[in-house]
Amino acid sequence: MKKIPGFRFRFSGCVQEFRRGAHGAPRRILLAVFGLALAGQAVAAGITATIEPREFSTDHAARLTVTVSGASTSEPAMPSVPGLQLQPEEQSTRMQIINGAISTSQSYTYRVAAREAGAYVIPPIGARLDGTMQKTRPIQVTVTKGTGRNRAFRAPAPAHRRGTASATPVSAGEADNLAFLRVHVSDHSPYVGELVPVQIKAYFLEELQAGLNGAPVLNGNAFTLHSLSAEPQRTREVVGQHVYSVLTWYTGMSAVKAGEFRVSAQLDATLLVPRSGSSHARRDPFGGDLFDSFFGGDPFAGVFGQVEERNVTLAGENETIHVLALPEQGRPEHFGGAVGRFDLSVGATPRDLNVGDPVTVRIEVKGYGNFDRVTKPRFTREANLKVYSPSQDFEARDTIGYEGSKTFEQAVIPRGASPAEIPSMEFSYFDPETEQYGTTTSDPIPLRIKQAASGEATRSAPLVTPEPEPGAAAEEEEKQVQYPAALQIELGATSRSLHPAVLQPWFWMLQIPSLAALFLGFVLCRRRTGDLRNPGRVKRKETRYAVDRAMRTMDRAVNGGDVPGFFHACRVAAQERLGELWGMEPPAITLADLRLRIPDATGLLRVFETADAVAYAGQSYSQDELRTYLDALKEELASLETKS
Amino acid sequence: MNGQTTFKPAVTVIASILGLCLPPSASNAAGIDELFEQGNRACAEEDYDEAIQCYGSILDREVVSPGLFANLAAAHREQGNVGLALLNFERALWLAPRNADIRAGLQSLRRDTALFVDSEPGWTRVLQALSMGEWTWTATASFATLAGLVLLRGFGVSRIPFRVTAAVCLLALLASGGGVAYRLQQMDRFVVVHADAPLLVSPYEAAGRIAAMREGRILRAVDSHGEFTKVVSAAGQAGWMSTGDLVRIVPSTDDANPTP
Repeated sequence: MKKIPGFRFRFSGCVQEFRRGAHGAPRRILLAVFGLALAGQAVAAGITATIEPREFSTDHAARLTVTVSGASTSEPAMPSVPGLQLQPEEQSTRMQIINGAISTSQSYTYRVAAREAGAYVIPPIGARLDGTMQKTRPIQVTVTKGTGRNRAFRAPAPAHRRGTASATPVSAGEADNLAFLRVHVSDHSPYVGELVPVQIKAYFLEELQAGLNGAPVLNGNAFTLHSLSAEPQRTREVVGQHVYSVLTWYTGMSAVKAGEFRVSAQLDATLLVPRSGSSHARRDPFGGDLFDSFFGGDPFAGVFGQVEERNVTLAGENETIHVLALPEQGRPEHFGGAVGRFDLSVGATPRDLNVGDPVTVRIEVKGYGNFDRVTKPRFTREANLKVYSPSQDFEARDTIGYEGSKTFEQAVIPRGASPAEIPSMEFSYFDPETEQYGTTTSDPIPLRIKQAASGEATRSAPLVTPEPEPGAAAEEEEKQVQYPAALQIELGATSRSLHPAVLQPWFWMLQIPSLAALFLGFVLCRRRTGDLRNPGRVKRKETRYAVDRAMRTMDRAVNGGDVPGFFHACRVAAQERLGELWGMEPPAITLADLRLRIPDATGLLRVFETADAVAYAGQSYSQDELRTYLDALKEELASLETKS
Repeated sequence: MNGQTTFKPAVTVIASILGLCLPPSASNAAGIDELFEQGNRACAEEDYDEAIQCYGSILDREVVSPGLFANLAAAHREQGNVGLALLNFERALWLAPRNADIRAGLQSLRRDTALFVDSEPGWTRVLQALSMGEWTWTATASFATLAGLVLLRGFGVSRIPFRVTAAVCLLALLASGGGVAYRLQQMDRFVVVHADAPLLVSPYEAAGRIAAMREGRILRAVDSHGEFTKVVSAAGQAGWMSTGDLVRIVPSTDDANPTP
């Protein structure tokens, strides 16, 4: 069988191909580029295998990791170990370039499960590394007896893994097919309600270019079908004489009634097949010549239109399922339809509380089975509790929700200080392994309940109807105490709206006066600060105020005939103006200073002389004379102001 | 003419303030007190439908008060309307956050219905000590005092210890501004008023359901589209809900009647 270079296998929707797969074309190209560019560099090659844990029970599985390192590696050949199931889980590739040396390592992870307890040896695992075959050391594992069955083991998992072409029995009609579908039901005689894991496997010739047009559909009228696993698992298998790429989906189904029923599956896909009229056309679409022409022909056949797309529907063979009815004998009174094996654990917080305080009860049912039929466990006896509807949450531990734990959280309020405990709870199920009903019971949880202080009597107004507990509902309703609600007697401060004032336009208009005051205050403060920084301006301002004041005094003195007052004001005005001009204290300026500094200022000299004469000799002047003096002084002061 | 035009806004503002701040008129107040008494009597006689109707009539007259909302909440509580009871308790607390009776009533309701809320950090308790109105008027008074101080300082009045007083006013202004901001942030809270209201992935009737929201849950609104509101729970769960399943605790101005 020859391969067309670069002819790749393509699945629409397999977006993880580059990240996960070792067969994706982009990744191959990338590796090839690096390989050519850095050929000849030293590479450390080797193969190692580790398993964790080395000891596990039949209920659990271990994880085997095979790591292959080197520049040119092949995929490890997984041995077959009787009694052990090696199921591929993940594959990852790591590349390092250190100082020009390139090294790649690929890790293959397998889930290892055992049907029976005992000691097993995994033989050396071999792989071809840089042209030589290398092997790991044998690995010893110990498997102890578990408590229940291991469904994962019971599923008909073929002895293959991703990337390793392992032999698979071929069914009639499948040989030499380009693609076909198989359905594996792990239990062909389940009980009503029992969750049965199902595998749907789609086989495509490895070198075939194909695309999926949707997810596979499982048909079965008497079954409730669960959702498929989100991403199909990719593996390789040899069927007959050919290597197939296999996509595997996992799901589950449970029967709703007893009887014999059929289950089938179908999948829509698009295949790229050579045109019948081309020079490389096959003579027999499913014969041996097909492969010679298909893979040995023109590598650009698809590009130049020598292949055509063909939409096909792959249909698997019908599986016959014989559904058993659940036995009537020994059925617990409160059996809710759970089929599987389950454990119950109950916790409560807080355990120290006052009467009337709520307690959160956490109930966990874990195990494997049909969790959709698992309901909240019930109290084994009447509880003096007010209970509320529980919330529930399911956490699956596998892709189909077969194994996991379902958690209920329920608020309860003890109605008194006694009895101070959360009663035990019980949960009934049918175990298909032992074919008997089972009941698991939790221990009662003691509580420490204190009576509330007298001032804080607890009220339990009938707001909502508590969830009735089976067997205790009627009594609980009778015990419930009806308290009147506390009413407010006063209406209190009223307003027109709940809407805040801060969102009303008028509120912001109300802030305008404050804003204006703030602005004005800042301006005034700034001016005051400016005055402090400029003493000359302040001095000029003070002089102007003093002169103006003296002028007003002179006017009053003229009108009142106050001659001494008039001349005193004249002298003060002149002193203020001259003091500013000469940089002297105004009171210190005398007639002598004027004669010395401004001998030609006759008007001022005359005012000063007259003022002295009036002050010491008491001369008298008429109003007209005083006005003459006033005018002369004004002219002199104006002249001095101009000079200053 | 000009004088009248200038005068009009001032008159409008003053009239608005007086209208909003002053209590209802005497005749109106008498009718309201009578309705309130009537509602209380109906409650005592366990005629909660009548009580809710009386309290609703008061709300229709555009009068709200903490006592009114608290009693309305109590009546709804007795009727089993958890969502409406919680809504009205929250509204009462919005107006009177330090009222111990209302707070105890709300806590009792939460405890009995297992509608627990996460404990809030201590600093939020400080911000919750005053109502929105109290924070607002504290901020306004602080600002006005600060402005007056600056104005007096500008006029050269130096008898007041300016720096100390201004610092006190500024601190009060900052604190009350924080209080107002916190209360504003609380305004986008909604209460689920219908049992098991669906939380959808997108704002359409046929959209996939994420969860069912319990009646009485408090959610924060972040977006709206048509008849749907995007909400986020305290735990961070987000989704779209029919607006009819939600009632805003503090109604927006568009809501004429705060009672659903």
